[in-house]
Amino acid sequence: MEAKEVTLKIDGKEVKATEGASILEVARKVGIEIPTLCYISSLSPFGSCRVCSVEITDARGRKKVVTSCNYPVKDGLVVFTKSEKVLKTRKLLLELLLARCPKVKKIQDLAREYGVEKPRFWIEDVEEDCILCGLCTRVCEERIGVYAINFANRGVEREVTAPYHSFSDDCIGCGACAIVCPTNSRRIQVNTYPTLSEDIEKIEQQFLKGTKDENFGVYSDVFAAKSSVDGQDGGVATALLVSGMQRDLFDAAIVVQRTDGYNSEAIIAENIDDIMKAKGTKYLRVKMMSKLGDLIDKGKKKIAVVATACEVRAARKIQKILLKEFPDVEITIIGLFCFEAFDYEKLKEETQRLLGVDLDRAEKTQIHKGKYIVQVDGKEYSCKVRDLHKAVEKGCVYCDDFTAKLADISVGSVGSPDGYSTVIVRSDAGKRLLEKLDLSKGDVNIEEVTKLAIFKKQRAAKNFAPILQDVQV
Amino acid sequence: MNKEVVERLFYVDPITGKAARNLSEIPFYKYQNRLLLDSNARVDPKKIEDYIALGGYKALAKALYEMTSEQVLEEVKKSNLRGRGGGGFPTGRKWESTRNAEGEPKYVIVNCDEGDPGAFMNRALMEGNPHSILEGLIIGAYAIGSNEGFIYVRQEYPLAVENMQFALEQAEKYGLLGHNILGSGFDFKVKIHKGAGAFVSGESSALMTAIEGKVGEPRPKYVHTSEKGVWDKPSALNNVETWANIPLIINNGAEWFASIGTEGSTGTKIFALAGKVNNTGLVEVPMGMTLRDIVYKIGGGIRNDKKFKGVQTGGPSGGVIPEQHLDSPVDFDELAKLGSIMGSGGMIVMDEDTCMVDVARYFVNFLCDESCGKCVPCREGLKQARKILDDIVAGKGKEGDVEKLKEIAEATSAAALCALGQTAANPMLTTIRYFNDEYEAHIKEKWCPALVCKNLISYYIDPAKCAACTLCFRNCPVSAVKGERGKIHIIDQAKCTKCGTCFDVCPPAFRAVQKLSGEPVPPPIPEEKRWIKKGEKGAAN
Repeated sequence: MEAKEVTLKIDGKEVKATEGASILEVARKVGIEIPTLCYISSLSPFGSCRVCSVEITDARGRKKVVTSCNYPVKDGLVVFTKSEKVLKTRKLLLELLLARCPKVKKIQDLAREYGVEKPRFWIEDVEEDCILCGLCTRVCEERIGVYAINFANRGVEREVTAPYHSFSDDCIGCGACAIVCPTNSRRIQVNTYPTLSEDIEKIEQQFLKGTKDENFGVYSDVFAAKSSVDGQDGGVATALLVSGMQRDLFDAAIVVQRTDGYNSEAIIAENIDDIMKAKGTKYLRVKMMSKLGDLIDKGKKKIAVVATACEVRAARKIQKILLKEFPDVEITIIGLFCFEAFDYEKLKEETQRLLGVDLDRAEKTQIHKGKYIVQVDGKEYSCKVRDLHKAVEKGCVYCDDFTAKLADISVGSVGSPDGYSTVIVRSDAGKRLLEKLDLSKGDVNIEEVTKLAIFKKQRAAKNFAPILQDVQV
Repeated sequence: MNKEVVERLFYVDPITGKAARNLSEIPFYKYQNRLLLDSNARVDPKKIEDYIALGGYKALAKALYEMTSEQVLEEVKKSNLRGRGGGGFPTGRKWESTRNAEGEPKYVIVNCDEGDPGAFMNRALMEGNPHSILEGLIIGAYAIGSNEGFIYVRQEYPLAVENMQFALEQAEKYGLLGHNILGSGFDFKVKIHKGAGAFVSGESSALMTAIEGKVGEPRPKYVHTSEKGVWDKPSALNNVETWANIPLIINNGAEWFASIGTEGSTGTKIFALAGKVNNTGLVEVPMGMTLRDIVYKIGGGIRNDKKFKGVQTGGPSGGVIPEQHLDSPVDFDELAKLGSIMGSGGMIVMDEDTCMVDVARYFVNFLCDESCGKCVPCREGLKQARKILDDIVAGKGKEGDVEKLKEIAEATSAAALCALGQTAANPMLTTIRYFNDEYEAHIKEKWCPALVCKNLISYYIDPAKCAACTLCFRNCPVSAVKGERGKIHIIDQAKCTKCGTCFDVCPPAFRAVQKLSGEPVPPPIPEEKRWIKKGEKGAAN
């Protein structure tokens, strides 16, 4: 259907617009400012704050108040954005919001514009800073696509949280929710892991040691290495786990194990056997953080986590929260290089389609120099990784961390010769893991690592751009 | 035995003392016009044969074989039937808009998410005569051009779900549902969707969101759901009672239907008459009957000869109508003029012992829990209104509170996202409008005229009336009553939790326990004067 042009009047000004566009869009285009709290142009309008309310006269001459963010314009519509009724309504809404969040600057400022300094209403909790605008839940759903948070409860009990109030297994710590939040609400971060640049700096200061490279993070040593374990590449991640457990550096580790076929899940390894069963890379995103919660509940104090960047962010966030309550908890994080993860079902489908083999029968999978390699019955099948784009997990394209910058030690294949792993040491805990470990070292090609790290960063920046468009960071 | 009527088994009206030979002689039924409810007593809801024997599905056959879909639509439009769920939107116009809207498939939906406190009109029809609703739905689908319908039933009505499910299966077996209905070539299938317990899901857009499998929260209706409803497809949603009226209209014609009720509100309406009336239950009356007739003729007046104070219609979205408007006819427009709404049919009668501030607080509290919480005016506005009302009934009301309530009401009515929020202020606004003196008494004089608000009342035993029977003494759960047989009882005000047990158990012959408000409690009489001489009072009676 051809988009129809309509003529409407906003505050006495005649305006032409496309039928169906929102009043807000049209008004802003002609320079008429309408305040909003729950709207940004990159997300679907939600209409929860009602601050963008305007008064309209419809075709039948009736006046009513509507929200401009989602009211579609029609021919002959007459809009008043600053009528007495509108101003009065907005003022009361802002007064109500200020009573909810008395300390939030954005609300204070907007309320002041409408003549409210102090709310006449009851203030339930001075620390409350979430106005339940739903920008965070929408960005997580509509843009990132991981649905980690949503509203729970109803009525006056409504809140934003991850399912069952537990540590989210789905949050990838991309930080989009925190970026779009108009009030800097910290609440959503209790069981999710948005990691912004200031969070990264704090984590680096608290846990890491070394010089900082802007592309692959804080490090004290980088080298290529090969262990005696027959794992992925140099088998270093597995070797670190085995050695760490033998030397009691931790008494449980969260690792990823294949369950049926190629599908995998995070398991708790409490002995060497468990660890050996988990060797070999699975290019999948698995639900991991609830396991960390389980271990803490069980009273474990020394825990190792093997994870990619998104899970490392989550683990650090949880570690910070835990340390406040249990100062003796030690979490050692072994990070894995990751450009993107795949969805099991879709990867299986694509592997079948592109390579003609059943992923579930794969002895080994590998991504090497832009190639996806599957080994079945000793035979290798391969295609370009790029061709797997349909199977990439939601949200990966918003992640800017290739080398797991917040881990104690990071391991990956990029940058090392065949049969070797690249190792980046980032903290004392990472160093300790390497002690007494027999590794043969090789040459590392830093440029290769840097190149991919930059590529991933740029991809994230490009995808984030529309979200950032009308957000003040 | 001898085909004689056994007169001693007759129902005797407790008010007039007259024995009734027929149902129509009982005042409760005499003034009703039970077009919809009548069949409930005559059919087994699990037997489609019963329904057919009473002429059921005749209207469907007539519609399919004697009428075009346009004619069915015209008939419904001509009948001027208006939605029974609360809004009162003309059903025919809604159907027409769905019929004419672009997009396929089109859906028809039964809304049985009845949730107003005390209301059970839809429940009675769903449980008692499910085929009447189903027949209406199939006819509506035919008129609209829909081949798919949903019946949204709240899960808290298990028997309604069961009976409707049974009805669907039977109707399908009889060729009244499914493929090629009655050989007419018209196909129609229906699914039951069980609600998950949220009151707000009864709002049409929320209900449709719930059918889609999402959380039942309302969405903006700037484009009507009749044009963009379930999965953005045209969807005609009507209340259970609306659908049940359709077969009547098709069978008897629009003119017949329009002759019942008033010009603007045709047909009958079922109300759940509750509260302080002698006869409670479902009543079906022609639109336009006065509130007085419903309360006094059908309801048999106020219980215990108390004084009438108000009648609450329309549930949490409605308002309280005072005595001076008792002679108003009950129809959509008249109730709206009074600040209330017809709603789905809740009707709660209140007597002089009802505190109107407390009533407003009750409904606001109900909506605080039942609002979805999505939009600011409803969620935050109601929270603040509840706090203000809580303060007022607790004796902590301040000058200006009523004005604040009015401001909140104005903002929620104007700016809330859905009808729940837009009408949420009605209980507050009507009680302020008609019973402002009660608000004033609570706020300024710290006095509850109806002697209801706990913080503002005290229980006191009148020493001149107490017969020292020990009933209150024995029943007080917190041992606040002091006394013994033969010795006048007194209440320790510091211990008293104001549960009212003493007041309830004090024999009517004495009425010694009294409620006081707005005045200080007299000091207890001195110990030495508490002994009652034998035969002096009370006990001697």
